[in-house]
Amino acid sequence: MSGYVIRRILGTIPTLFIIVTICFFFIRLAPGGPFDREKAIPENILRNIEEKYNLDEPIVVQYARYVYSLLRGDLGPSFRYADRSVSEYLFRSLPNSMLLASLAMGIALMIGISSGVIAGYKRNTLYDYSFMLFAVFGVSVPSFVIGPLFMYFFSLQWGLLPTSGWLSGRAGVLTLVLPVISLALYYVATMARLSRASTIEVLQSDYIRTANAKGLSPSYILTKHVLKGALLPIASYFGPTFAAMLTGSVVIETIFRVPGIGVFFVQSAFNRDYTMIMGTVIIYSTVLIVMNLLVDIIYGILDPRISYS
Amino acid sequence: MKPILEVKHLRTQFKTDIGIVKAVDDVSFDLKKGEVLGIVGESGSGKTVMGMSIMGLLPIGKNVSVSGDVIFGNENLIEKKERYMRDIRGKKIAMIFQDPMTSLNPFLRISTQLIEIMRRHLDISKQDAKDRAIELLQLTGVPQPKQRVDDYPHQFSGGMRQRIMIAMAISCDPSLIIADEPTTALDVTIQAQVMELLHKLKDQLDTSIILITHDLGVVAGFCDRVHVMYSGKIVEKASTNELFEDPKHPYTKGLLKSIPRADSEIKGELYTIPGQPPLLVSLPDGCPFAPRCEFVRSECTVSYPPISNFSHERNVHCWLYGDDANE
Ligand SMILES: Nc1ncnc2c1ncn2[C@@H]1O[C@H](COP(=O)(O)OP(=O)(O)OP(=O)(O)O)[C@@H](O)[C@H]1O
Ligand SMILES: [Mg+2]
Repeated sequence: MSGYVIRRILGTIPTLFIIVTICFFFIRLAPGGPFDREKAIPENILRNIEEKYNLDEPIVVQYARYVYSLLRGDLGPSFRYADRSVSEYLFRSLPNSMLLASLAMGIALMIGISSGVIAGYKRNTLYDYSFMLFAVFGVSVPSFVIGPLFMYFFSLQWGLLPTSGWLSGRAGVLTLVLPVISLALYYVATMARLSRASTIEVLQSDYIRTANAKGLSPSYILTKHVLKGALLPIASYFGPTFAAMLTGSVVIETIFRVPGIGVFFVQSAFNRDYTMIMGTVIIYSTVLIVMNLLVDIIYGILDPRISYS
Repeated sequence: MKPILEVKHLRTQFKTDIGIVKAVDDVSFDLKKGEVLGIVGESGSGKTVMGMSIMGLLPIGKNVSVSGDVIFGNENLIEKKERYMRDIRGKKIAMIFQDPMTSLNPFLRISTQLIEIMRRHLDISKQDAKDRAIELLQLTGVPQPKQRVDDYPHQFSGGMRQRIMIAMAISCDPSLIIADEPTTALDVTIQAQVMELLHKLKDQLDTSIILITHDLGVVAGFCDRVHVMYSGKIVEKASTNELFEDPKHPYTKGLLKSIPRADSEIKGELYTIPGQPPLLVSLPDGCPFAPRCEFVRSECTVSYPPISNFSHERNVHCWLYGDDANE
């Protein structure tokens, strides 16, 4: 198993290299450049700026220069924000997004899976119907509606929670509550629907019939015989979803003014901030690759038919 | 001697979108201690549903109903609560299922699946249960049981998995085993081996067995008596010898003709009963076999034939015997 993990991690290096290469050239193909919108810049000053960022060199040389600095762990200077480097921006904001995502995912896993499994087990009962009604609501109401609604009632109307101010001021951790819950709601609902469906499927399988024919108790069957099989589909959903969440949830971060990484994904593209785009791409790819590896490991733990060696 | 199991007027119905499915329709029979009863019928004739009904394994409710009596020991199992049935299932009545490839839990070790049933029903320590699991695997002919007891189901072939299912079924010394087509999903040579194992166990253990099958060939030499099932009803009852020597019902005759025989003089295609078994929804009046029967008469499509008794436990439902049998 550990040999497999090491091989998989080493395998990500060429993958990342290919992603970086393709991305580097593709971005340059897009029309426009980082300094286009500052119309008033005189020709000679623009040339100075371009010279400063080495944009006047042939693109292949720029690429080599970028890869070289990348190997030393430097993502380069931002073309947009002059005061700090891309690494500084991204690695300062990434932990905030990760905290937000991890808390929301934790809630989604705990509440979503347990209520979904119970709903599947108590299929077609009042519990099932009411919970699934909530799940439909959670899936279909977008976060840009939920966020402001929560903010309106919990902060403005009832004054229970702060509207924003990530981990600062007297409110402290209370500032986490609204963004985390607003983000989690959708994932609680999808996890619940997924685990309900997979529980129902497992319950209809022949081996559960066998377990019943052995006279085992329902609670034993549910925890020992049903759960593992029912969790498998969740694991494959979890990977890419958590990767997307970890790298920032732009809408929630904007509404609750979370200093997260999400904003850089959107802004860097608008600004043609080449190095910043590359930075976000590298971070997202890395997180995604790690998550996929994690999913494979979870599969290996859950399903004895899969063995890594 | 009092029979160990008496089934009386068992009816199992499913409410579906296309109508009410009468999967088991007024089935009555009984089983003596140590006896092996064969239930034979084509696919879809209600054999599995019958077994599940006896075990109380069907989700009775708005769409599923089971009625009649299932007298086991001195109790009527149909009236019993689920909690009571859980103590019966696996301990007093065990069931072996049709498809060994899917009947074991792929996520759990064989040892776990064998130990859990013993721990549920017997007062036994974990270690003793494991030792007994190894003995059971030995008894059912799983090679290297000590080394393999902690393996997962996918590490065994279909035949081996069925042996494990059998080991599980006999683990708590049940007085009745319902074997639902235990060999249907297996290769012919493996089929023979598994039947041989059941033979051996039948002699060693003092259990009664209901062997459900669609293959009369499996019945010969194993069952004491045979009941032929067609579209949810038992159409003929006989001892195994009588059935093979003098089948009464045209359907039984057809089944016998379609057994491949080594001594057959006619080479070429095997006989098959023409037509399809009926859907068990809104069956017409009369004999359900009438549309496929070569001896069909006018009364066959009018009403269901009454019972014609030939001797004790030898009877048939067929208009051909309407008058002469009951003398
Ligand atoms: N849950 C259910 N809902 C509706 N109909 C059902 C249900 N279970 C079984 N049936 C129907 O009951 C009939 C009898 O099915 P059963 O599985 O008992 O047949 P069988 O004799 O065991 O056949 P096979 O040899 O294929 O195993 C079939 O027509 C089947 O479609
Ligand atoms: Mg069946």
